[in-house]
Amino acid sequence: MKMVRGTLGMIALSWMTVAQARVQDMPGGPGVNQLNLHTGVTPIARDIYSLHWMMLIICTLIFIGVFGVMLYSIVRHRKDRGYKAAKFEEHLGLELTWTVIPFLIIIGMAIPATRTVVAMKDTTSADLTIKATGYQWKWGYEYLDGPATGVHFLSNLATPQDQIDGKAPVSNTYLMEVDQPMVVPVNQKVRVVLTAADVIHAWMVPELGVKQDAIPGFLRDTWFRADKPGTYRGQCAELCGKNHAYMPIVVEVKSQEDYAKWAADQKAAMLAATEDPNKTWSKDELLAKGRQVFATNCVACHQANGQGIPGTFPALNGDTKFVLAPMQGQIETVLNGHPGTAMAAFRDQLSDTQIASVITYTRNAWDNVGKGPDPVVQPSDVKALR
Amino acid sequence: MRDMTPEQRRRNRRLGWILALCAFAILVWTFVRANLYGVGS
Amino acid sequence: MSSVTVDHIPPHAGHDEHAHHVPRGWRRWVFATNHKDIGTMYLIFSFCMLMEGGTLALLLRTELFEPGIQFFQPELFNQFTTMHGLIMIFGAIMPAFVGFANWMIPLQIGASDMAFARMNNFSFWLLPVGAILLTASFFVPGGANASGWTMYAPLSLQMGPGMDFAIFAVHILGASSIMGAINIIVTILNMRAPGMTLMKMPLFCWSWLVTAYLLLAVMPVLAAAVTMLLTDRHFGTHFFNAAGGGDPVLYQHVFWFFGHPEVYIMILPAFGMVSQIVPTFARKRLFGYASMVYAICAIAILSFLVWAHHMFTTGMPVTAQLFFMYGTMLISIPTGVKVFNWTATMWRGSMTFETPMLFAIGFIFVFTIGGFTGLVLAVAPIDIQVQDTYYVVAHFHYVLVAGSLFALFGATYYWLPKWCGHMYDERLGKWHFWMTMISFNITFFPMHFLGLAGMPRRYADYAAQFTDFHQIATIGAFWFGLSQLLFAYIVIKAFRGHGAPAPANPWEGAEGLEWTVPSPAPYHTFVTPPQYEASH
Repeated sequence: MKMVRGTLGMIALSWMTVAQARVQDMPGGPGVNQLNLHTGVTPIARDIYSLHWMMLIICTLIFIGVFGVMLYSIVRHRKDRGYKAAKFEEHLGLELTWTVIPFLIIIGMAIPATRTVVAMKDTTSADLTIKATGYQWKWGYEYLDGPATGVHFLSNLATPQDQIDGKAPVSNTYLMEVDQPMVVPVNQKVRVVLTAADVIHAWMVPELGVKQDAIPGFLRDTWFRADKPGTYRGQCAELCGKNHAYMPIVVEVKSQEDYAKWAADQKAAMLAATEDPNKTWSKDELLAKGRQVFATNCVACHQANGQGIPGTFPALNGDTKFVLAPMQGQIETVLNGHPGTAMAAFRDQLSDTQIASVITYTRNAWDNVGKGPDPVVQPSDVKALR
Repeated sequence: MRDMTPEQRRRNRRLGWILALCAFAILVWTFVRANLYGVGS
Repeated sequence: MSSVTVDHIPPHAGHDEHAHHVPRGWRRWVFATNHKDIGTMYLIFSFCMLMEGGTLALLLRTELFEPGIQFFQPELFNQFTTMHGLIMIFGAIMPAFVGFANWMIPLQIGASDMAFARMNNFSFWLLPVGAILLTASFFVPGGANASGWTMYAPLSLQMGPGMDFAIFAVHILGASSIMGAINIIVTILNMRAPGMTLMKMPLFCWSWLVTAYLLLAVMPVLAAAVTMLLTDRHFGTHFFNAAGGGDPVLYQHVFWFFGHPEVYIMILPAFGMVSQIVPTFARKRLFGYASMVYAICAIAILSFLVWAHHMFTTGMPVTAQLFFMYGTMLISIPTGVKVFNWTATMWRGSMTFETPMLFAIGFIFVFTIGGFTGLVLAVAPIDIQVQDTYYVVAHFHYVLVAGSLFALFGATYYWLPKWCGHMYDERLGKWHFWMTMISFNITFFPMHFLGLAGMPRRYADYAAQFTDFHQIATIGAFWFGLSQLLFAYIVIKAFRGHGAPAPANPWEGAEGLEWTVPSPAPYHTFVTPPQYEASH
């Protein structure tokens, strides 16, 4: 039955594929039908590329050697060709040879590999250090030194849901585009310090030759030195829950001057965005902002219609425990999460204004409008409960 | 099994229990190592 | 070629001397203590699990036909990938090898049955219980475990009750494996026919002796790991929670200390099977028997020293990265020796290419490819680029499917005449081989490219540039799955008697005690141990 469905699905979608425009290579990401690693834009990535070619060539040669012999044997040493079986069962010299020679080959492979391992592990003397935090399901970046010190932001998947649902054709950067990329200067050793807020994630950018697990409660680090400006893309590489495929990484490598300018712009924007926590917002302002915050942070689990997924993610529409109840319970839930579940603590990810607005939105959306106490929540209410 | 002598059975059982003990020891060892590594409770 | 003299084979199938009859009806199976019956049950069970696990694979490959989400939401998709792995490993591959151990080890060493016949029964009947738990976990709130067959913490701590079902299933299946391992070790060490020293034992028995020690050593470790998951989930411990003083990476160390020997558990018996089949169809003794034994032992010992090559991206110190890289690369040496010895066995033999031989040669060919990608993965810097990508998925399917599964197919065709007394349909068998071989490569070879290009694993959705290779893989997967229905047909057809009656030894070059008893093998064999005198 499932095979019938699958086959029908395949036929239907093949039709659609043919009807869509040809996809191009992704800039800074995978090429169409790419066969091999990319050379990459860092010395480490290039080292790995060369190591891989070395391994591939040696293994192919051995493969041809062994299976050439076997193929010859299959053709000649057959009963139907009248070949009579020999009787030998051992040959010490031969067996020693084909133990020792592979051993030497392995040593030959291990020497250049060792050099690269040591180089990859050396994160000292970095020019710039950035902290990357894995969340379910996005990355957060914080600049720890240099001209952008203190700049921090979240980096969310920017692909429209319509493309995922098949209602719009997928773009060339499908699933590998974000709202705010990590920005770094070219030709500088960038040390990336990694951690996670909930489960293990992994930060991977193939063009940079980098992959490092982000482990909750621990710090790990890695480094890269990009030698070409451009945009480079990667994805989360450790299963982290339902949206594991939807938390990409984009790194923009800028010239030194452009980087300095970006840093200055970021700091100015952060200053401007610092809001008066005691300002009273209008209900319409809160609802407009809240709708945006909900779409970026809450829709993945609670769904756009607020119904959640029965048995897994609770509905917000008609919920009488937190949403249609005094505001304190819902504010605390959004701030602190529910440990042991997928409900994260948003206290460090969202500002008071963002939290107040998204809570206000849920209290006035779908069928909740007009029901329940505290339909409007102000940022000062959230601040009071931190 | 009709065809195993009592002596054969005894030898089998003895080896069987030794192996079972080894398996159990490894189970215990794993918990002990984990406790030393990280907090157990 | 050899002269195996057997002291005394009873003229009838052993009914006469005792007031003892072959049990009938459901009691025969529920209370089975006969190694042949129990072996048969293991094999049927494992084939059913192969179908269930295969269905899960086809479901997820269907979703992966196109970018975007068409059929299954990511949370359900993750359940499919997870349970596909758990069911195939613990439900299909491992029980299949145990089924062969049960059927063939007593026959090959001239023993009347396994050492602990009643424990053998219990070992088998635990399996359906475990399988029901795994299957049922799909239907509890939250669905089945969706944290990968590796069940890493802390993700696995977030899962619903389906995770607890999986943990209990692992406990039960693990207990079955440990008891099976004890049974096999005691049988092989204590119950060989007089004159059969260890170094005269068929290599299949050697491979299982070593595998059984591996099982004994590491299944308790897995039991501890999943128990710690259980207590972290429900009983307030924090083994894997940093906030409580624990460490998520501890789980990975414990799991992979089990996990790496586990993959050798799944391949060593396959090596043993191939080492029986190739000499038979080359009509030439296995080349370098002693080296083959040492190689198996070397692989087993080394397998304990390389677990962290699954953890190269967790952030180990440099010396640890190097140690595990070197250890992993070293394993390729005894493995290579085995491939060379099989080739040397074929060399200047007098070969025919019936279905068992096709699968054995196919195994060597395709397993070696998997071995090479394993060597590539061993090189830690390369692993950094391809860890958790489809390159790894390609590698382990090459060694587990083209490796273990092909060996299981080949051994089934090889020993089927002994089990049921009829030859299988050779023409259909060849069809099965070629369809399986070709569709397997269509499915999994493109995954190497996907991985090198950066396609991560356990993804329900992917960038558009990966589409073509995914579509090829999905089509190959459906063809592969359908081909296995042909296998079922061939086996059932032979068991129903539609094939030439098989003599005691249907294969011209075959040696071994199992070929001295009639086909089908009588219910009781070697009631009195034979005197074994192989001319070695």
